[in-house]
Amino acid sequence: MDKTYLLQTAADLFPVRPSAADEYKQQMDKMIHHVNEAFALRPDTEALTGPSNEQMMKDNHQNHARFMYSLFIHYNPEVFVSTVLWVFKSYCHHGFSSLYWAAQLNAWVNAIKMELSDAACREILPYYFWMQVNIPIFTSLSSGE
Amino acid sequence: MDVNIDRQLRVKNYLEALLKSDKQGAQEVILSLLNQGESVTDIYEHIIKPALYRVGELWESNIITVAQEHIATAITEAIMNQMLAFMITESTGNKTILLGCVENEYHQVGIKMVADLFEVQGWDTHFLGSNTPLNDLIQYAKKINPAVFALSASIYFNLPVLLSMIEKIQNNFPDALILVGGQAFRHGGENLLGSREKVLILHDLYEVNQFLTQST
Repeated sequence: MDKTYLLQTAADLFPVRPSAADEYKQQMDKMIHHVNEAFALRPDTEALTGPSNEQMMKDNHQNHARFMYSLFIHYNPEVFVSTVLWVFKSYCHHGFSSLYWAAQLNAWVNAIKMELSDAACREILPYYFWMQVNIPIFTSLSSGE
Repeated sequence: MDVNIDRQLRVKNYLEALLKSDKQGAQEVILSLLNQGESVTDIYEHIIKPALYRVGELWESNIITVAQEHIATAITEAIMNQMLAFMITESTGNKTILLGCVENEYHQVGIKMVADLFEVQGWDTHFLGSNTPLNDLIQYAKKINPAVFALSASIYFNLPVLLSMIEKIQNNFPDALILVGGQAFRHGGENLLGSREKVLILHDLYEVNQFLTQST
């Protein structure tokens, strides 16, 4: 499975309605806080992110939210796939473990369920499930295998 | 020597100087090009821009640190200011432009290049730099009443912020033209803008020059 597969399956994701995107935006700061807190409570965070990468991790959580919101208001599968690949590659180069992504996306799913309505969750969570399911492909492609 | 090969060599030399924090070496690369008659636009597009993109790639690959990336940018901006000092023309006072990055956008070299081209052409140029809060930008603009705004977004997820800025600027300055550009538009960002009146995307400095020519 390669980038073409990612692009094809990303293209199958349903666009998010403005109301759900707006809800995501409104709750963004709270969700970022939940994700940061989840990592603060983990005993293995440094193993997942590499040494001295706490700020980079927090920056990633903030950038993630802003990026996802920009996708929700104007979905472009190519931007989605290319950006996630770039993020995997860059963060890996900076010492992040490939296991970080599963932990991060789990934290995001939990944060979204905590702060967004059921209706918004139904529209937004498929994007997160798609990312979770494809972590192995992203990891493989970004490492140049 | 083929012009492209020559340029690649200059980019390499410029980049090497930046990575060694060798300001004088970097200056010498640019000065030699100016002495050969290269235009500011060509130097910005074909030497400085690719060199800084490469700096970004080196950070992404963790080959250089954030500090090295910042000093490369700082040296470049200092050299750009020195170049301008030799080329700046007196403001005609007829046309005013306000330029800056969108909120939360810190990549300002590109929009500074645009500002420099306007300044060289005699525009009254107000360059606010990176991450100017929108309300502060509006308040400042009310004092200078620019005919044109130019906004830059380098990162895709800053496009929604850009849209908000455009809306607020147009509410306050309905007759102004808004120029937009930046790397955020590389992958479909133009579709996000839709067909807004009085908003023009400029993709590179050659299009900026074309706009300047048509504005005279």
